Amino acid sequence: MTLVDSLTRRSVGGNRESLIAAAIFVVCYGAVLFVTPFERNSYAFNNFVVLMTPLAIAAVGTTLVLITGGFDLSVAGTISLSNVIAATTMAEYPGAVWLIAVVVIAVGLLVGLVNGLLVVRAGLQSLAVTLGTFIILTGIALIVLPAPGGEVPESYALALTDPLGPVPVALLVLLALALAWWMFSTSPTGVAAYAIGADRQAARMSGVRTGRVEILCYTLAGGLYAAAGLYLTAITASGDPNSGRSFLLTCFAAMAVGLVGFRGGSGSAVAAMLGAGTLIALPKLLFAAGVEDFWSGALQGVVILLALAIPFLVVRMAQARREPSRRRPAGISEGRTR
Amino acid sequence: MTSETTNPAPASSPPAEQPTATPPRSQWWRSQALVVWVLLLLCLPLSRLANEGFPSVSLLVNVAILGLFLAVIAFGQGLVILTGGIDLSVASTVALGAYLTGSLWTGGLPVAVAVVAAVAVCAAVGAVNGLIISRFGFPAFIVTLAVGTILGSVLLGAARGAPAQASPDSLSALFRQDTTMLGVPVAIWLLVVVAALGSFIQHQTTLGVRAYALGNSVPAARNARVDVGRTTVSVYAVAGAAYGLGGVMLLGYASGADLNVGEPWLLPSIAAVVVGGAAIRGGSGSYGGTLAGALLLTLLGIDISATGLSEGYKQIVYGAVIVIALLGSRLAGRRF
Amino acid sequence: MTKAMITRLTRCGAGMLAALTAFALVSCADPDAGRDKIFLDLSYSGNNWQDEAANLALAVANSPEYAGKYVVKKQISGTDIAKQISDLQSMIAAKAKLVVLYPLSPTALSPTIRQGCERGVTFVVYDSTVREPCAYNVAFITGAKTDDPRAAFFGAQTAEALVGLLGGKGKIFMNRGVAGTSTDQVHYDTAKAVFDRSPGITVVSEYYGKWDSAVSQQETAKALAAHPDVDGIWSQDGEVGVVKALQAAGKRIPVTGENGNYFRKMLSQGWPGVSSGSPPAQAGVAMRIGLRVLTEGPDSVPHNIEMPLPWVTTETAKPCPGNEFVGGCNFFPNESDTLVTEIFQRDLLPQSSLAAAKTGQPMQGLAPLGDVSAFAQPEWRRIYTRGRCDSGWKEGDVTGVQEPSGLPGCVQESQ
Repeated sequence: MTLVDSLTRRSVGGNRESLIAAAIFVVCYGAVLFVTPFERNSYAFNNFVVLMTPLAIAAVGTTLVLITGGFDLSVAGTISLSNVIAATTMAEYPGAVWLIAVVVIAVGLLVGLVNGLLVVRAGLQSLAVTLGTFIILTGIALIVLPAPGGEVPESYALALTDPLGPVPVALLVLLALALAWWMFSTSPTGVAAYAIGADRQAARMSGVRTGRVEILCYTLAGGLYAAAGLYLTAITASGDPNSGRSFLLTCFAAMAVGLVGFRGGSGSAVAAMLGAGTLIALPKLLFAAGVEDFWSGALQGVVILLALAIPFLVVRMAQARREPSRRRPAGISEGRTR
Repeated sequence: MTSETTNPAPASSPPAEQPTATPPRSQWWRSQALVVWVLLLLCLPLSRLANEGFPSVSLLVNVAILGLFLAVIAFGQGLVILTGGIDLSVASTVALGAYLTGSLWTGGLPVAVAVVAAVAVCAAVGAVNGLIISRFGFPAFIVTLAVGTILGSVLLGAARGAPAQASPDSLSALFRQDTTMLGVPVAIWLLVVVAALGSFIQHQTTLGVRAYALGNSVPAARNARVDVGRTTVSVYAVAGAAYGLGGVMLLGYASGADLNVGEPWLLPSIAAVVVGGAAIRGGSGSYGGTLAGALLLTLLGIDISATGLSEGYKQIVYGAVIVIALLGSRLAGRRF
Repeated sequence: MTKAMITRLTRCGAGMLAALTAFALVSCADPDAGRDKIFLDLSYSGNNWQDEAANLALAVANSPEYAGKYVVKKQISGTDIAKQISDLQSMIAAKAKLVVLYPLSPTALSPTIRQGCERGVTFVVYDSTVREPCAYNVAFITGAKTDDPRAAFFGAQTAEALVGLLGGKGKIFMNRGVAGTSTDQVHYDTAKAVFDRSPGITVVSEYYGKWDSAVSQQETAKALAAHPDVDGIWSQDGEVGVVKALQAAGKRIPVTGENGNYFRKMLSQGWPGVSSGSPPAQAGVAMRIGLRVLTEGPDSVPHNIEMPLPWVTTETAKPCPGNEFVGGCNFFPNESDTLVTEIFQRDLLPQSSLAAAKTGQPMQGLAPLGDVSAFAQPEWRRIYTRGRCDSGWKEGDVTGVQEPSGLPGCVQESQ
């Protein structure tokens, strides 16, 4: 099997996407390092990895749901809620910090379970119902903590944001998550999840318990969002009921840059994590290049579009190679979006 | 989720989560949209729970006027969702419509010309969305997100020094409650016009029919000789025009608008469409449903505000209402 | 064919890298060498207030007195906290000397700001405050009236004014800002404390206008539908929308708010009310404070500076004949409705001008800031902006040194 074949074959586990996403990230972050001498030290590297971690963890969650063909908008609400719960309870019980973290993740799992039940058992459309749960979660967060405040013991914050020697703790967390993903995506449940996203009818007919697998995906995603919220709490060392809001769209942007298939059935969470890294590196790159003011936002949008273009170009080049005589119409060629 | 290599059959029976497709027009009374209208009418007397003064004429007038903006914007979003996409550039396009109208008028153009020009530019932005989506096959979610981000940033730069625009007096006059025609505020007449126009475009024009076809099955549409690319571009362009028009109306209503005028409308536009019974995958839904969804959400927003709950509880209620409305639509759909 | 494809991909990648490098090299040819770096970092944007404030700060930094020594760059971080943290870290890494910013959160930036302070960066924050002690806060939130230093808190003062205008009885609305922000919370808490003490006043509706005129107009319209017999409205920013909603409903009742141009225009035409609120001038003042710290050291200014509360009433609202603040005038009749008028501060930013606020035109005649210790925030209000009291002080109700009396604050530990 040639390199090209392996690159262009539609890979369920997303190896191709991971490679491309890694390449994009390396180029972006490499450019940052190249241009900014101040970024070339372990302190700056640690800052960077720490900052990308909440988005990366959250992006794994949304990817998990997206491969089954669903859109999970509740990511922002779960992050805000876990942030405010963590900040308020850790302030009151600074000794039980890690127990609180476990409880928060349990809350996230519960939220995910509710989402899953609503989508699978009640048959509601995922984008719509998770929009509703997102709003509800924001409301709960406002009740728990009406204005920014709360406090987090320094031991907790530093445990997650300081490096262990030269290696950022955050990096270890991300590597562990990548490993967990690899194990999941190669497990029968993971393969089933991809199958559901690719063709739900066919998956059901071949004996996959689609309902159970989907609910599991939503539940795990909820837990991941809670973990992302816990990490955000360590970074900001405080609680804010609006803290999760920006994750709503950046998670999906990270998945786009990570080339996760928006129609379901393909993509890799590792690639999404790398996409998150690119999204965090991009403003730094623009800053280093002296881009000021409103241009920064505009160029970020352009880069997202460019990132989308890459697999398109790769596939086109491969097609041109394979069947140079047949003109393949471009366009919405792969069925519906969800 | 079927790729081109599998049998390109026409719209097969929809998977379990998708609500049943819109029944033929001769049986409109069986649709989920009707359920939402019934819900809307039920909630009117129920508003009494929120406030003793409700329901009242001023409540109805407010629902109509505030619902007008959502009705226009949700029309655009509804068309896009019909084709199986989603449009996240709503906020920036609404702001663009308001900003251009204001600045062109301040620059000396007559009001009508400024409005038409602003709406046309917004349609062009929508066309760009449609072009990228159809030409390259990128997911609508991300394309519209990126284009919206770019547009928002460009607006920030272009508007430097004057992000807030003033509204032409004639435009503002349209939205004052004392500007009436036959005793009814003009804004309510506008709502009627929007309802008629929206229904017409979505259900009676070729564009609308083609949008339904795209949403149901692209290969089938292509087999039926529908120009997928052109339809996509047109749909997004019309949607862009609708958002721009919404921006123009907001400019008039608030007699002025700044660049954040579009922010509060993205999520409600999606909510209105799905509460109105449209399938996120596309291919089913009616503007009647979207309109009912928009009015219902507006009514509930007013009721919830009137209860005097704190903001957290208000959000919970609002979100719960959306989920309940979805459940209700689903139950209704099952029965048919 | 495989080779051709790989070559193509490699060429693509190389092309991208080359472009980025070129981009970077261009910026490496540093025209700013020799000048210290100042950054202005915005989070919110797209409305008049933020735009004017940013322009004023830039106008100060670009003035002839400072342009030779400092180069100022503006960044818009947006409403994503991670992005603002990242941008601040980039600025710190780029060896900025001064960062003037509008923080997205009073608490989330603390670790980053602390990192920066340790590396010798000065942080000055305007309008919204941060809790991190090493940063300088320049804010009007707890400020007192210019002519009455005991009368403090925008929320409380405007509430008292409204009570006065209503003769002590009536039903009112409260138009708040963005839910979940400390600025909104402080304004609301201090105003509510005043209303709670006035038995004849009932708050019949509270809503969030999100400091936006259009949203405030819609929310006020909804509230009017529910309570058409309201007697007065207390508002944060967005009062222009409140007034427009009232006009649409044909009601003319007392309104207290911030300093939108249209509101003051209406005041000057007899609308009952008071205009106070957040001056965009704070940003210009913040820049001046920062520059003073750079030239004279970190202790040359207090860490907590209060901007005096502007105060314009129906009687004192007066249109400016041209583009300058002359003769006690306080709004510009020919400017946009939502222009925020307080771009000038008599003692701290006298050289301000409409041109500076609208375009960032460098200010002329900027002498270095004099002694600002008169504007230091008194310790008893510290808790509102720093989240805790100074050492030697504890939480308690403050009496005797400020009006209104008995509001929560800090009292000396010996008491």
